[in-house]
Amino acid sequence: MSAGHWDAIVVGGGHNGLTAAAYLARAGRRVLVLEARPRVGGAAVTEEHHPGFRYTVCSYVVSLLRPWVVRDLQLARHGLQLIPLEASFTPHRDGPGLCRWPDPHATREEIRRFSKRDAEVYPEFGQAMGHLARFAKAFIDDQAPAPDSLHPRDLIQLGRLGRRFLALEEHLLDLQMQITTMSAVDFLDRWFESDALKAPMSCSGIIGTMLGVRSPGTAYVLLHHYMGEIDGSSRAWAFARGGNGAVSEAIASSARAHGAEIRTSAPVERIVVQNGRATGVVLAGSGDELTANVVISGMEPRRTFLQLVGEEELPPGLSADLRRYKLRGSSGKVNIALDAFPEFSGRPGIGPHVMGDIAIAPSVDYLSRAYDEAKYGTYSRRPYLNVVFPSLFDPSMAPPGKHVLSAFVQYAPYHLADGPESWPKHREAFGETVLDTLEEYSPGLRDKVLHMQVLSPWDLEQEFGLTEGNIFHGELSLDQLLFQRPAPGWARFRTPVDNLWLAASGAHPGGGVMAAPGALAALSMLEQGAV
Amino acid sequence: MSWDAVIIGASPEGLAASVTLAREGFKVLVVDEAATPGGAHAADEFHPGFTAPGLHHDLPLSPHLFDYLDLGSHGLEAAAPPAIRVGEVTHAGDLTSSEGPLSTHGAWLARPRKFLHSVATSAPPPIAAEASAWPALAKAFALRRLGAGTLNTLLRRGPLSLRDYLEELEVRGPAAASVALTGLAGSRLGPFDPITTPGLLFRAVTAASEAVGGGAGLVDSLVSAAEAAGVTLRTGVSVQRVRVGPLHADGVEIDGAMQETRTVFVAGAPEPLLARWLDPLAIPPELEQPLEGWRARGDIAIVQLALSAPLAVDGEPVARLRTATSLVQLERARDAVKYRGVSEAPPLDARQWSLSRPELAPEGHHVVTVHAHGVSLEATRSFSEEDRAALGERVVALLDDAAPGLAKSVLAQAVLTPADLEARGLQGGHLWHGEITLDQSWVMRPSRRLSQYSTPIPGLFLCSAATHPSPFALGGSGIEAAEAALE
Repeated sequence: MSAGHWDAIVVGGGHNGLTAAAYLARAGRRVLVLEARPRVGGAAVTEEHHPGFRYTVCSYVVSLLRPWVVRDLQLARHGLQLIPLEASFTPHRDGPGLCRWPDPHATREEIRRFSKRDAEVYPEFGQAMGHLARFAKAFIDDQAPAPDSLHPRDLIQLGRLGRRFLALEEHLLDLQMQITTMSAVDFLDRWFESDALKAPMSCSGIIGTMLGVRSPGTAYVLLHHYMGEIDGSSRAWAFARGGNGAVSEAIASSARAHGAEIRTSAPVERIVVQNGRATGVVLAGSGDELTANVVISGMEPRRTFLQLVGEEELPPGLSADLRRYKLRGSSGKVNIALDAFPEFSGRPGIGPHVMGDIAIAPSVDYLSRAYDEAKYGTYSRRPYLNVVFPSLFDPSMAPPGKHVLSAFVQYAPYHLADGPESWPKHREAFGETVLDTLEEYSPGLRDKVLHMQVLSPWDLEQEFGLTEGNIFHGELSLDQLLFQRPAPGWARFRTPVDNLWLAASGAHPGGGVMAAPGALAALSMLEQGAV
Repeated sequence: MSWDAVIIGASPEGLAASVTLAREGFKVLVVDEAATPGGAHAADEFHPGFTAPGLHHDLPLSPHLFDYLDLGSHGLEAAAPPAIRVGEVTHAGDLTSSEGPLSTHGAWLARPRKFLHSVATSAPPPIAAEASAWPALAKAFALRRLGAGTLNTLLRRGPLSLRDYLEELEVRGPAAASVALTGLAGSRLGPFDPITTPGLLFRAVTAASEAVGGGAGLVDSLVSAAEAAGVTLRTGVSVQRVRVGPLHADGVEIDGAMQETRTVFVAGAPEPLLARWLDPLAIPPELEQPLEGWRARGDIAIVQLALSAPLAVDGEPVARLRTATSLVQLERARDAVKYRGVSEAPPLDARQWSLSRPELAPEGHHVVTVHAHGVSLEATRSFSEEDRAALGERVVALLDDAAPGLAKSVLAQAVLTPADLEARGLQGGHLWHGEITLDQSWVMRPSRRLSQYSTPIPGLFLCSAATHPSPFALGGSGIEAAEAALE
């Protein structure tokens, strides 16, 4: 039974699905977004789990959100306010730790305590990374290049990238080649000597991946730290007022303003394919069939194709590629409601040092050992944590005088030695591990805990549809990037099923609350007259 | 005395360069600080009457040794490498074989094999704005000609971890551990690490044949060819410095005497260039920076065994035996190296040379060299005599587990830790003078600029195993460097 017809139906109201919907609605198309959960946002949501305390449940900061998307969709007018993070603090148990500030001079003074040489080199490193980041942006703001295509347009794109590459200055050319092939630690070793500095820097290379800081291919992610463009300044990270749910709400509001319809608590059972052509979706529960000229998936590729479409509609090569597609979630999330602010013993007080992200990453070997435990199938006994206190940026996140702590926890491998389904059994102990770790740097924190939400990768999958708990809809490894995301030959949002498009983090250029896959997919569809 | 070229290091690369140059009519001097030529490939009589034919186990040959240098007429022979026994399994030494437990791997490689072989054995294309783009484009066209399907498969499988690659091809168990060990040799990575597959692919396509008689067999034929071409060879010398004149590198001080020359080739470890040979003021940053950032930290200890009976499994003598039977064992051994330690159970790779070359040992006796993977340079730098002996005992005991009865037949053993190898002139105690990871390979070995063999100092060339293609094609770097100099 048909219950309506649209130009486009977007399955999944995560930030990318919403972005695609907003772009299409803005171009005058009739768009319907279907979200399974009671609120939009997917993994970019803000929720109250303890009275008066609002958690930015999964993703928790904004860094790579494309500025052109913010402009195009007028997200500021729709309520998005970004508050730049002012510091990057690495507490130590036996001293004040290391704090990196937006002011390079202040950062140099901090680094000098560990190494005079590193302090001198640090600004130079930042400059070099800035140049490389500009080169990298050519890739994330455009369609993926297609080395297997002989179409003149694709050859021209490849040629243009090749020329831009060779036009880099001598030393940048070397760095570019190193950063795409090296491990984060090997790359940093060429610049710095201080473990206290290299450890927190190397972390950005492993976030969300099942790789260690010494695994090759992790260096290029260091660039992300230099790609952020918050408020036109080159600050890396920002907090969205109201948590990351506010990012989703702003995009949804923009989409609605352009006429898109958004339905929540509307899970999709399957995507209808007739004669190799997507014609609509069937809703779970009611069984209603909604039809559309195109169907856009805002979900992870394996789930999209193998669960919602069905293998029989796919070319055999693609099914095999999708089954091999590496998800392998490696992280969990812990949100804590606190009775009072937990000070860090090495650097007490609520100063500017906590007005940013706080990394529990005391040494390279600490991070490396955390990975070693995970690769054999247990969560790290002493994990890498990335902590922010949303209530410091936005007092409305917690009652007066009280606080919310958001901790990204790695490694928490989806594939435990006794199977992913054993996670519920380990969840509580996992949460305790996080508290134990925090307690080492902030003694007394445990006594301030009012409520704690522990999300294992298993929970991320069950609750948010992040398959295998992977926060990026697929590992950001060299074999799954650019023209191979999610599979060779299918990296341009189009799929082998006619009128079915992919517009989420499992597509180029990948995850990280960029909104780029959603926007680029919608723009491609419009350009090609597909909708 | 005045030379056209002075080559420091009588390694296969140095000797191959000398033959290439001398055949063009140039006057060439090859010197080596060791008493016998060959570098890491020199014959080593480690116990009276027992000789190991070099330290390396894999001896892939540059095709140019036969076609350019015609070493066949100087006694060089190539043959298929021996089969490898691992656990209950035996697989071909030719890792592109489409039979046996590696058949799936060998079968898919059939398509890109020629392309990969050409990349693995020839000079890397220059990557620079002012250089000709043609060599790089030619490689790109060759890759494209494989067809979109093979191209995509190669680009997708290339960056995989060995674990994922082997799992995808359903190569499992001991055979998987064995080929993974091949792929990882020369790196500090484990099979779970990404981008470890290229090491296996390059080695597989170049492992179809090897030098008969080990490294020493190759060195013998190179020395014979060099002598025939009129090359002067001096070993056991001391190299004091490389002099850079107003125009180019123009002299090498050897045993206190300055040898005037037009060019200088470094065919051994590049490290002494910075540390000892060049005037610090004459070192340009374009040479200093890449060599300082170069990673060469050995992780293989070598145990040479003199045996009264052959190394045998189930009563059958084996030419090559490996002990690790799972990828996890390899990964755990690498963990120890990562923290600068020594693995409790280092995966072993043993070669019994005397099976095919009985003259290496007294009659009825045998020579086996064992590579123990998972022994970090850092740990062995502070090894005592007792530590070294204990490592040797542990290796013998582990090998005895795989080949019961071995321990009883050991007459003598010599242990060479990475620190010992370093003292013998191998940079970082590393068998290839530098770790073999993607960022230190091909167009980046030892750096983008230096990969073309020339250096910022005119007349100074590099051609050791720290350049491509030597690790995959012995002699290749020497020949390519000589060609670059001739140009």
